[in-house]
Amino acid sequence: MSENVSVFAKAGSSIKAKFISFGNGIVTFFKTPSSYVKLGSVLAIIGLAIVLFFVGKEHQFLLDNNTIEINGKSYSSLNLVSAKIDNSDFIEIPRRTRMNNFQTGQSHKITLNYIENGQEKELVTKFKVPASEKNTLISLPALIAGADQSEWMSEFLSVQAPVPDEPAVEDDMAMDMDGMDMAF
Amino acid sequence: MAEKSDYLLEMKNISKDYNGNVVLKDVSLSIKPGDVVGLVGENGAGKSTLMNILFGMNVIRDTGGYGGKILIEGNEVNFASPSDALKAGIGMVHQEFSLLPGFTATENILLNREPQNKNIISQVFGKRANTLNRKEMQRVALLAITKLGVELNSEMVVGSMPVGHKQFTEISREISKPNIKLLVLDEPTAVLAEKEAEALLRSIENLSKAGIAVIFITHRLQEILDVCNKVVVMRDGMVVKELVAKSTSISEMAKLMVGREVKAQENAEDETSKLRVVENKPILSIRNLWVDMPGEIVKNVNLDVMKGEFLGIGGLAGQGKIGIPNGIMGLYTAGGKVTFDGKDIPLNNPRECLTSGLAFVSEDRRGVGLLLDESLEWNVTFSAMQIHNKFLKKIGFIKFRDNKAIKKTTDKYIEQLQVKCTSSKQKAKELSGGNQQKICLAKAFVLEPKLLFVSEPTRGIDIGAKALVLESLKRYNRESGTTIVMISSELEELRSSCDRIAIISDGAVSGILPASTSSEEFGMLMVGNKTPKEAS
Amino acid sequence: MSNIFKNAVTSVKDGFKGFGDRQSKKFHDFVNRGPKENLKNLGEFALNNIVPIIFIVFCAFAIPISGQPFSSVVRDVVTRLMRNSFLVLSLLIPIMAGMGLNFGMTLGAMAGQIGLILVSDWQVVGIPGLMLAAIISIPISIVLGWFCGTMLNKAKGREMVTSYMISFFMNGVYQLVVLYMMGSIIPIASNSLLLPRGYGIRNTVNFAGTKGSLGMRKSLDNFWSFNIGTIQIPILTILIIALLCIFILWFKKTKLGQDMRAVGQDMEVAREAGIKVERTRVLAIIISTVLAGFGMIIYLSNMGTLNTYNSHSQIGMFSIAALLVGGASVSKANIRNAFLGIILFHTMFIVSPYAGKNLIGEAQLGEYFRVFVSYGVITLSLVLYEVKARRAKGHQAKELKEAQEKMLKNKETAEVIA
Repeated sequence: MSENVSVFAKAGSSIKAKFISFGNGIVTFFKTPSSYVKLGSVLAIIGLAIVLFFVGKEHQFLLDNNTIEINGKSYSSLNLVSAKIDNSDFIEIPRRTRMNNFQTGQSHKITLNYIENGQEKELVTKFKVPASEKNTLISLPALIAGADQSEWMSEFLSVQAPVPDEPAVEDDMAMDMDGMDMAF
Repeated sequence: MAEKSDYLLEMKNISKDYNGNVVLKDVSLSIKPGDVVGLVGENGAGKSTLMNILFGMNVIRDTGGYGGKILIEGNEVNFASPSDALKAGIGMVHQEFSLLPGFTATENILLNREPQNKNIISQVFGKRANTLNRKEMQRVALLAITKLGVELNSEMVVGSMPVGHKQFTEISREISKPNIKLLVLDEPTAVLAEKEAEALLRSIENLSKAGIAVIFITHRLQEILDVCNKVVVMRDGMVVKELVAKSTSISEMAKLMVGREVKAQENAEDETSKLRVVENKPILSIRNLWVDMPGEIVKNVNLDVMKGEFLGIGGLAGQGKIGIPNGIMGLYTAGGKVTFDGKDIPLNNPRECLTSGLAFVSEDRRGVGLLLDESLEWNVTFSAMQIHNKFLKKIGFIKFRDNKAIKKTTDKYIEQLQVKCTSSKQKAKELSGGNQQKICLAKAFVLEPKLLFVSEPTRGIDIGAKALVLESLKRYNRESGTTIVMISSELEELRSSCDRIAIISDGAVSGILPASTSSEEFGMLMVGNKTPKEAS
Repeated sequence: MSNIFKNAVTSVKDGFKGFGDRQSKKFHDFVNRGPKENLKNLGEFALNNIVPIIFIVFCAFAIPISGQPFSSVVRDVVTRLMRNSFLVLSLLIPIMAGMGLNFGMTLGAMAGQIGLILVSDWQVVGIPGLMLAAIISIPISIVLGWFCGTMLNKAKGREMVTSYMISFFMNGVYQLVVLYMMGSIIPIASNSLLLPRGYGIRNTVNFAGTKGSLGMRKSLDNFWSFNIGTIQIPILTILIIALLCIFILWFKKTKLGQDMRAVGQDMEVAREAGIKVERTRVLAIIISTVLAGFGMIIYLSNMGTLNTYNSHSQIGMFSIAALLVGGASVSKANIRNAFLGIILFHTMFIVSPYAGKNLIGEAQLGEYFRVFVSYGVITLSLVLYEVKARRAKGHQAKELKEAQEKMLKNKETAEVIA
């Protein structure tokens, strides 16, 4: 019986010792210079992750060439306009259409080629999109007419249609993972 | 402990028991810096236990700690692990090497103490990401090897080294430690050739001059006289006497080691050997036997056992003597040819061995020998029932246990072997070590084997029980004509009971001599030196 | 920074030098021995490398039978080499620490997959997306690896079967997270990822990017590459794999690497020397798990699709089979084994359906064959390892005896001369 008691006492003291050593661990952590290097590198990685998030975040730009009325002012659609964002290829956007363009990052540069008064003109505009904005509508007529950024750029909220479920491989013995790019 | 002690190490009134078996009683020992102390005693005298206590080995703590005090430079210590002992400046070279076979000598010498180079990754991930400084490792290792004064290739992989070089690697590792104050050498010369042993003894002198104290455990008494300045003789867990090495002799040390019964035993032996006429007809012949038993590797044993004889197998620990019966009986992987009673015995097949009339009393009583949770009756008769269908009566087609016969037989052996128990229904685990051993013997006797292997029958049992076990083995041999092969680490035990004694050294038989031969000659065989007679 | 680079370079140099020295020594030995001895050694060599030899022979027959042009086989093998190398290399460190084949690499693969799922929901694409997924996978891998390593410390000597079972157990936890918690507790915005019921991830997740979206598929491979004929050589991927190889070589020279080798040889001796055995073993598993997570991200970015509930469980088996095919064993594996294994194993994988079709008219047969082979290889390697270990033990006793007799003889002759 007494043996049992001593065993429990030992277990208790070892738990206590663990707590104490944990506390000491924290104290020594802040005393040793190499701990700051460790802490710094963890922070650096977290910082890198944040940077990567903003740099790699994908944005969809909807380049719109429709007649539009913003704040009581009407901008009529253009006959012929081609646009590129950052380093993409020029896309032609016919009258009354809307084209897609995907880019990463927040700072962008849009280049427009259009004909005004029989003359070919180029317009380069730099702009930023908020990171949280997934789809951005850019109204080209408003942009060319020199409207304010808050007017020609707006968040495009689409109602996502539920995507049908793709057929899945049920049998985990099928081992088709490498067969995906095979002929059959 | 305010006052500074003259002594480097003091061990005061150390005592220790394993499950009630007292192995150390009131042992005291004191060592000054630079002392070379010889520690001698028979196997089982308590030398290893004493050292285990000094080093705070797990074995000691797991079995209930020890009594007494240990002081180092006047401060009491109680090491929780061998690494604590190392920190305090005590190093040990064990009989079994603790070396990594895939590492070079350098890597082994500096194991976990490698000099390192810092790099940028280790700033972040900690010291363990440091790279090893191989050049510095080489330098430190070579320094230690030079200090030891031996020839050793520091870049050789330990696995492909001869035994002697492994030993040097071990010692180099200990002396390469910067704060080493005391070095314990456990049988360092047992595996060395003469020349290597000499080199080692010289290096011990060097260490002593450098102020490092050495505890030197050996069976080669001459070496004690050569290098030690103090000799501590142990017997049966006690320090018998401390001697000054300069004013003692081998015979004095030997007498103290073996102790009281030397004369009586020799008389008894003379008496029995006169009576004995053993047929010169081998019942068991072993050819080129190898056994893979960890710590007891048998390499190449050739041995003939005569019919009706009581053969002893002796030798130092770890040389392979225990591997022989374990290999033949199929408890460990073995190879070679074993012929018993004119038939070849298939190896690695325990049952076949038992049915053909071999029996084995294992040294591992608790593991292999006994069913600890069963009654004595069941323990004694179980094998016989299984192997020879004894104690069974047939009624119709169904076999029943013959409980009456079982009880009768068990009681007979309990009486004959003087087993201390409440009844034959008592459980085996409730008996003491000595009585358990007796039950193991009874179990083997019931099988009525033609040949009985008995391995370490007296290990860990008290002196009274020892004599009784040996006596009953001898009587069984004489009365029923059963051939007995007894394996024991205690030479005197073998000499008092056996007809002939084979000595195993380094996994092979180094010689077979009649039991009446002097201890010195056996001693020579144990350390691997063939007697002139044998060599020719 | 330059210091570590220098270290890495010297370590690689040493590696090559060591290799060269070993080879020249082998050649030297070969010349010095008699022909009979060499024949015996050849037999020994064949027995030690039985698995790679079987596969080389098999591939030599199956490639012509399959009727595939050699260049297309090479193209496919290169693709798979780029895809799988990182995963297979992640197995090396636990082997070094004596913990056998880490079936628990599946855990790392799960962490990588969770990272990728989150990143594709956040619509972070391209190489930044992959890097972000890798960063997310690190803490998950560390926790899972720590758990697995701690469990394995409680089952010493039975690491492989235990890690195999842990991977099954963790698969359940993974399903709980991905199938029930994602979309309900862990916010997932994209409808194309979620099941129609509103929570849980679909069976397949596409990284290719739809309707002009950029996606992550092959972004690593296409970033910087050139073509040899029709074979694309992705330089960035190769650089990353090379970096890992350098890391492994460098790691062997670190204190931790040395400790792992020590622990792998004899835990008790290592413990006596004061090495923290348990901690070292846990670290080995954590490193392996983190690397497996990275490997899985590279693998999936190349594939372009994630089979949400299957990819990770298959990848463990295939990576281990590939390593074993390369001649590795439970206790010994190196970078060469990894690359040779991937080449041989995937050649078999590519050609066997065609060969089956041409031989019997059934492509299915080839498909079954390769499944049979991957499990068969693992079984064969494990059995061979045991057999070899036993044989070696038997030999050991014999060799020791011979060596000692030789020594004795030498000593005697020396004495005679003296």
